[in-house]
Parts: sequence; structure tokens; C-alpha cells
Amino acid sequence: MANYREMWEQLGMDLENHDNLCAVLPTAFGDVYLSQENRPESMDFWDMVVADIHGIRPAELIEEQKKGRKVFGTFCVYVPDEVVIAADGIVTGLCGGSQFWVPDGEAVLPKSTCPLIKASVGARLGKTCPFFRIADMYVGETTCDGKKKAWEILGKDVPMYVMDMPQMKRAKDVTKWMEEVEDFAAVVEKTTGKTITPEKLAESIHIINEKRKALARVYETRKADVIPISGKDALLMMQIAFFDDPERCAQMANRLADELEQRVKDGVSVFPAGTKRILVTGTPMAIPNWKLHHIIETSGGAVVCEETCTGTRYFENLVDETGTTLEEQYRAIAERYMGIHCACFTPNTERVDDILRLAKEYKVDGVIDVNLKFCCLYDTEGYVVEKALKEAGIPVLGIETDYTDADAEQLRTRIEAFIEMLG
Amino acid sequence: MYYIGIDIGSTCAKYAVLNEKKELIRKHVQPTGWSSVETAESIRTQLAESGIPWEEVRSVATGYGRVSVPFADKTVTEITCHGRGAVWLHNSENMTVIDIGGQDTKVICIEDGMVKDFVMNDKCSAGTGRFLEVMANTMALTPSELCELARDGGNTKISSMCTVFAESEVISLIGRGEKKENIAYAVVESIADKVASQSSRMSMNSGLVCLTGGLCECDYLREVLCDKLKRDVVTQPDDRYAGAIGAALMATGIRR
Amino acid sequence: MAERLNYYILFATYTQGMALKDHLRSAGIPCRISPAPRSIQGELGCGMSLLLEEEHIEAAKQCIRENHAEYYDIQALPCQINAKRGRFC
Repeated sequence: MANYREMWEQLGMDLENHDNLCAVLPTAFGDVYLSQENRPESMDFWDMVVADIHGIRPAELIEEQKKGRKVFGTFCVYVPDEVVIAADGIVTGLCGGSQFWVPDGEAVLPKSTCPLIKASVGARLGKTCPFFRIADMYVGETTCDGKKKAWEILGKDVPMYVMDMPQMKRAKDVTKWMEEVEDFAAVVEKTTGKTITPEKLAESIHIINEKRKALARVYETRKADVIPISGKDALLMMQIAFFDDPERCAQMANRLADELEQRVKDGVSVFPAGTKRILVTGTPMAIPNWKLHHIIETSGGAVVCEETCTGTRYFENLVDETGTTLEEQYRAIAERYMGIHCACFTPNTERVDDILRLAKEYKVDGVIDVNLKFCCLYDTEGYVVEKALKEAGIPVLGIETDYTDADAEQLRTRIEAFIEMLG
Repeated sequence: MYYIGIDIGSTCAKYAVLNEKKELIRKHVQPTGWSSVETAESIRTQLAESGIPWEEVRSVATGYGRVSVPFADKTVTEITCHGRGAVWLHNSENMTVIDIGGQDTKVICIEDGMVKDFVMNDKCSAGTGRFLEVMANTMALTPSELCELARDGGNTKISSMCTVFAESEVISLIGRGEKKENIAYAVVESIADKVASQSSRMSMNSGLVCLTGGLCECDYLREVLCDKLKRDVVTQPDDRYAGAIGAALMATGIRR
Repeated sequence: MAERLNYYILFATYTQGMALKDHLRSAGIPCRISPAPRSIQGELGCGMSLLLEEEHIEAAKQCIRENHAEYYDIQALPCQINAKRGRFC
């Protein structure tokens, strides 16, 4: 596709307003990413994807749609990609991470809604994101109240299917989630016109497991004493993993992991010795939300791990591949996904266990617990998280923020002070 | 060698000079004005005119305008500096520092002379010096006049935490004919409540509690804080220089 | 001190851009992939560009000639990168 403008026009986008978004991205990407030194060469792939974020992948998706394939837009790490891929569908993440989309979301949502939801709704209604135009069907879930109600509004504009998340993790909840996965599979089959067979599902389970393993390999290198990749670069890989073809994602992540493993052997670090190692926990950071990582990494810290949906929650734990019947496979899928510990569950003590484990594995000096403004779930759970960390003797800083620039200086002061406190 | 700490706050700019023996030999406060760059430059001129040889100076800048001090050797946040300064001023290694600044309020927990934990208000200016300033302006008073007037008031409450809404509450109280001292009382109560609720988010140790920053001279505010925190809150005149002194102490660690 | 210039090599498609990037890398010429600044992108569809420091641009031009690499244009801009700007998108 030589000219993306034509493609955007055909997608019914608001070209004039979209242009405003295109104008700010190069500056922000330059400030955040190109200001770094000695980045891994394999980041080239992700740099290329960002440089044409609304061009390359959307064009690929449209080519696939021409062949009759269907694109499903998702908003949450609980929606099982395996099911869609087994029916020859394509998954693309649809979370909005830019303040640019917030005003269009605020036109229909209360201002006291989390920026991720406002931006996601705004990106659709404002017609300024090709991915939101391309998706044949949106798949929502009932993880939080803000999302539940937002789906009703989006559902007036685009075909919408909502999966009902359990709120607890008892055995009967896992069974209930398995039934939800089966219901979803039926909807996907109907939309794509393809039948899901045990063979196809086994194949898609394998593909997604391989992608998880590749992402985990990259994270594994961040446990080393030398830090071979910045948190910002790792975050970029994770953010784009939601949009990319899963096999290519695995291939690129493995290539990056090869380079990082070599760097660890050679003792190559992208940070000076003594840079404080930070674990970021909390709410997801949808592309292009790089604010917190950037402030941390320009204030004497290095992010070595993210316990977020755009971090370990996305790839930890695999789906058991030994199932041979659809029932066994759906059960295995349900079990793996119910092992993700989101604050939407109660009780959710496993998340605290995860955070303590990650803090140890990644040898962190401190934890920054971040919650997107108006996310009641993570904000409330922050109390328990901070308490547990303090009891374990791990310094923690709680941060509440959104996508605006307004608090950048305030955040910098707090984060610098926190890093000074780490000695 | 001279060690200079420069604290460019949102309202006032302070500096402190320590000599080789770490004795405070000079201190100064002036309004920050609209340009922290110009304020920093004027401080540099004053220091040069005071006869301190610049080649014998190590300096650290702090405060929200710390990046606007190009001649400083280093920048350190006001949280670390207030902590260090308070330890030095009160000669105590375990304490809680409450710094009510122009645009933010910090509660800092100090253990073994080091910052152990801190909380800082969010973007909003409730419970800060700015809040007091806005309310004092509305009532045609200076902040310290407001604080002293508050001592004679009572029985009035401002329920809004937001500065903008609280200001309209004050205006409607004035409109209703409420006594000035009662409104002043409500303003001070509101600040102290906010600071106390901020402190409750952190486990305070049993050491000293001291009040630093621009409001440390408002004795009535200190008394109300004692009451709210159920602790003796202490302060001394030099506490408004805690940030600058802390910065100067940080400068003693600089090697060139 | 004169302001440092950054050179942006623009392309009609990202495939051309990635091809030249590989040539430059093999020749040991440092370059980075950057979204093309809007002010120089014009009506060009492709948003990918290669960013080079002033001192490497002549070697890059030589490399383009030797490999008959395709590109659209080369534009110079004062350095746009500022890690402490505090502006996000």
C-alpha cells in the first residue's frame, strides 16, 4: 500500500483530526525512545512498526479481510486469542493509550472514567484510529464497571460481544469461565463461518504459548545484574504484541531475546552501574502511553519488570497443550486465563504473592505502584500491595496518574525523591 | 570551601550558606516571582557580591525550580533536602517532617537520618500554602493575619477540599455575614485536616514531628496540627530554610 | 555553538527504508529508525524515516549510491530530541 491516506479515507476516518495525532507522535517518540543510547539493534522492528503504526499493520489486516478473514478487536488480557485464531480469525488489541482520544470519549462518558476507557471509546467515536475502524467485531468483558457501561455505548456503533468475567476464583468460577469461553467460541465460529476443531485449537494454543514463551525470554534477561534493555523498549515490545501477528511477534521477540542474552554474557548494560532497579505494578499502559517509564528512566531509575496487563500478566503461565478434545482444551484455556491476577477479583491475594515474587526475581530496589486515575479497583488494591511490600522491607511509591502532561513535573519530583530515598 | 543550598520554591526562593565547619553563615529568602531563572540569577549575584569566592563553592539546587539553576553542581529533590535540613536543624535522627509548601505538602518519615518514606499531595492544591493564600486574598488578609485571626474563631466549616470550590464556599460565608475569625478558623481547620489525613497514610515513627516550610511561622496552624495529630509538633524560625540547608548539606558530599 | 543538524532520509515505502537501513548497518554507518517529523513528511504516505547525525550523512549518501538504494528525499532539521520536554502523546 503506497498511500495510507487513501486507506484511511476508505476506512471513514476523520483525516484532518487524525493528522493532528500524526503530528505529535514523531516528537514524543523521539524524546522518549531516540534519546536513549545503545539500544538493542533488534528494536528496529518495533521502531519501524511505530513509525508507521497506522499504516503497516492496518494495511495487512485489510488485505486479510479481503481474503474473507475477520478481525476481532479486544480490550483485555482475559479474552482468549486461541479461540479466535482456531477459527481463522485475527485478534487486534484496541486499548487507547493517548490523551488525544480522551476528549472524544468524554463527549459521551463521565469525566471520572479511567483514561483508558475514555481513550478507547474516543478513538472509535472520533474516527481517528484505523484499528478501531477495521475490527469486524469488538469483544468486551465485564472486568470493571466503567467498561461494562462503555460497551453499551460502543455497541450502538459497532458489533459488540461481551464476555462475562467471574469476580471470584473458586472452582465453580473457573467452570463458569470455561462456559463463557465456549459461548465465545460459538460466536466466533458464526462470525468467521469456520468451525473450530480440536486440531485447529491445539495449533492455536501452541502458537500463543510460543508467543508467551518468547516474551518471557525477553523478560528473563531483565533479571540479570546488567540491564540489557530499557524498560521503555520492553514496554514497546509488549504494547505492540497486542496488535501484531502472534507468530511474527514470537519470532521478533525471540530475535530480541537472542541479542539480549548475548548482551548479558558480554556484560552490556543500557544503564550506568548503580541505577536503581524498579518494578512497576498496577494498571496497563496501552500504546503510546510511555509517560511513567520515561520519567522513571530519566530520573535515575531503570524499569526491570512490569506486573501489569502490558507486562507479566500478559504472558505468564501457559495453556496446557495435552488436551485432545475441545472440552479438555476449553478447560485448559479457562484455567490458564483464570490464573491471571487482576484487581477485578476478590479476594486477589495471589497478585500480592506475584508482586513479592517478581520483586525478588528481578532483584528490584523499589516498586512503583501505578494506577490510572479513576480506576477504583487498582487504587483500592494499592493499599494492600503497599502494605505487603513495606512489610517485606521493599520500598514502594504509589502513583496515580492519567495520560495528560499536566502532572509530569510533579511526578518527576516524587519519582526522583523516591529514587534518592533508595540511596 | 563554602556549601550553598538554593531552594527555588513556587512562592519563595531561599538560600543557605554553610562554611567548612558546616555552620550556617548566611541565609536569605525572597519571592520567586514569575521567573525562576531570573531569581536564580539574582541569588548568584548576591552571593558573588557577598565576597564568597565562586571557585570555593559547591552548590545544590532544590525545589520545584531546581532545574532553573544552571550554575548549581547538582539538583536534589526538596523531599530529600527538607529531610536532611530538618535532621540538622532539630538534631534528631528519627522524626517526621511536615513541609507545607507553596504548591505541595509533603509528610516525610526520617529514620536514622535518612528519608524512609514520604507522601505528597496530588496535583490539587488542597492543604497547601497556595490554598491558604487564595483564601487570605479572598478575605483581604495576609496568610499570617488569617492564621492569627483563626485563633478567635470557631463553629464554622468548609467542606470542600478543592481550592476553587472552597473559595466559593468562603465567598458565600462572607455573603451570609459570617464573622471573619470564624471563616479564618474554618480555613485553618481545613488545611490541618488535609495534612492530618495525608499523614495518616504513612506510619509515623515515635520521634519528633516538625513543621518546615513557609507556614512554620504560623503558630496557630502548628497548634491545630498538634491537636489533629495528637502529637507535639515543633518548629523553629530557621525551619523555613530547611530545604536550602538540606541542599547545602548535600553539597558537602560533592567531589569534583 | 551552531545547532546540531539531524538528517532524515524519507521513503515512499517502509520496505525501501528497511532495505537502506540494512545497507547502512552493514557499512557500519549509525542510523536510527524514526517516525518522519510531520513538517518534512509532506504528502508522503510512509511515516518511516532514517535518522542520521550530521557527521554520517556523507557516508550514507555514498552507501546509497553504491547500493543503488531507493529513497524519496533527504531533509535536515535542527535536533528535535529532548528527553526532558515532558510532553507525551
